[in-house]
Amino acid sequence: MPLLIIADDNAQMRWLVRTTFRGRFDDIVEASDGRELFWHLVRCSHTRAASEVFVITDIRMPNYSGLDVLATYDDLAFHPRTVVMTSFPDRDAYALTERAGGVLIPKPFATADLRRVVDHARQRG
Amino acid sequence: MMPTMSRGAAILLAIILSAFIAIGDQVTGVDVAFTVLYVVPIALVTWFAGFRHGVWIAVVCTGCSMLNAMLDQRPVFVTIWNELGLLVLFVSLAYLLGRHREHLEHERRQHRLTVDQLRHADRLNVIGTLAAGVAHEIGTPLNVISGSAELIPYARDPEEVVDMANVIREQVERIGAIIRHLLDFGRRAGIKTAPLDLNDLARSSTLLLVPIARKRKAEIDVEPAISPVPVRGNIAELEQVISNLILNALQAMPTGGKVSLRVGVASRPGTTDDDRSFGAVTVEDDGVGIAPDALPHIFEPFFTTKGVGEGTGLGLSVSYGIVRDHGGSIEVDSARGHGARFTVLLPLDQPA
Repeated sequence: MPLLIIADDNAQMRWLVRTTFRGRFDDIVEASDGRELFWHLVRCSHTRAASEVFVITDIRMPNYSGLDVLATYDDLAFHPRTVVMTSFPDRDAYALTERAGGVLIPKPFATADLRRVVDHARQRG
Repeated sequence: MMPTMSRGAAILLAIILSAFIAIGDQVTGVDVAFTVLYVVPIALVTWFAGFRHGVWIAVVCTGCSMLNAMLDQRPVFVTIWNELGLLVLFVSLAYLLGRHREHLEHERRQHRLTVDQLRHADRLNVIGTLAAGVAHEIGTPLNVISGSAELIPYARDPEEVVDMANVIREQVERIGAIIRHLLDFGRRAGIKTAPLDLNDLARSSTLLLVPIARKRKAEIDVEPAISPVPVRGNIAELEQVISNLILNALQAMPTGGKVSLRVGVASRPGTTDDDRSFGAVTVEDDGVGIAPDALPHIFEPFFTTKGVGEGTGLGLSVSYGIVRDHGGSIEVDSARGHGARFTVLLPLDQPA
């Protein structure tokens, strides 16, 4: 049962991603900051396999950034497939995303591109 | 401090001094005290014009001394021997002083270079913060706008199309607000001002924030000055400044607390205005405070210590711009864990 977790501090951005993936995931949950995303992941790590969870997260968020949360994957021993969205894709963002096994997509992006990136990541398993 | 006298003036002064010393030397009967005085013009020229010119003055001084010795009819061999020794002494003095001067100049150049590099790094840092802020604050709504437009053809019903149109409109308004704030910071002119009392300003700025403070389990305590504190300004803009400082104070106290607002008259010690009096509004909280490394940057656009969702990082920079345009300043005093105190200083409106 694939679950999509969308993390972004902008409610409209979460709405946009949710609408883009409507019908493509069995369940979609939202997180408005890094802490919420982290606790979603902690819960998922006890109830689901990492292959059943997909994360789409922003970087700049209150409390913890998306990259802070990605850095906890090893400690959680939980590595869901992840797409990181950012308006400021610097070298650090690429490196940290890659280290966590994620894919980075710079904002602004076309929803079709986001769909393509997510589909590609899901196929890759 | 490095040389402030021009090379020509130093040489001229040294020659005049040498002449006076030579005359004095002759009048007093070739006295060794006068001979020692020759070091003054040599040191003067070496310091202000460099070693090469110092050597020329040393030669001139030795010549003066030699002339005096000859007029005093001293034995030629002794005179030549003495004057050669004197010349070596003078040139050595000029050399040592010249080396010291070069060393100081080198240090000064290095210092200036380091300061320039630090300024450049700071500018780059500001531009980086600005770029990241603009990218995030405008990039995200742009993404929502383009995404919503793409999704309109796939809307399930007309109501959803209306929702998407509303989302687009809201995001456009958000971008507009960000741009307005940025322009407010960079270009502010032609504001309408009127006489006002800082006591009234403090009270009116607080009115709308009391419910927010209550919700956050905080209280706002206003302590007006005993007599009116007249300043000249744009009340709407100054209200924006004080409200912004109070809001920041409330956000810095996540578990509640007290925000104190004091009105009074203050000076700016240690500045060129230290003898002038200013109207002052102080906003003080007992919140989390500001880290020392963040303190120099808090008035930069998009710099924020709050979470991204809590503020754009424009509030303080806009406030700074407003107060600056009123001829005033904002002073900050804070330590991590010990709250923060912001003081808005505005020129008093002196009666004509």
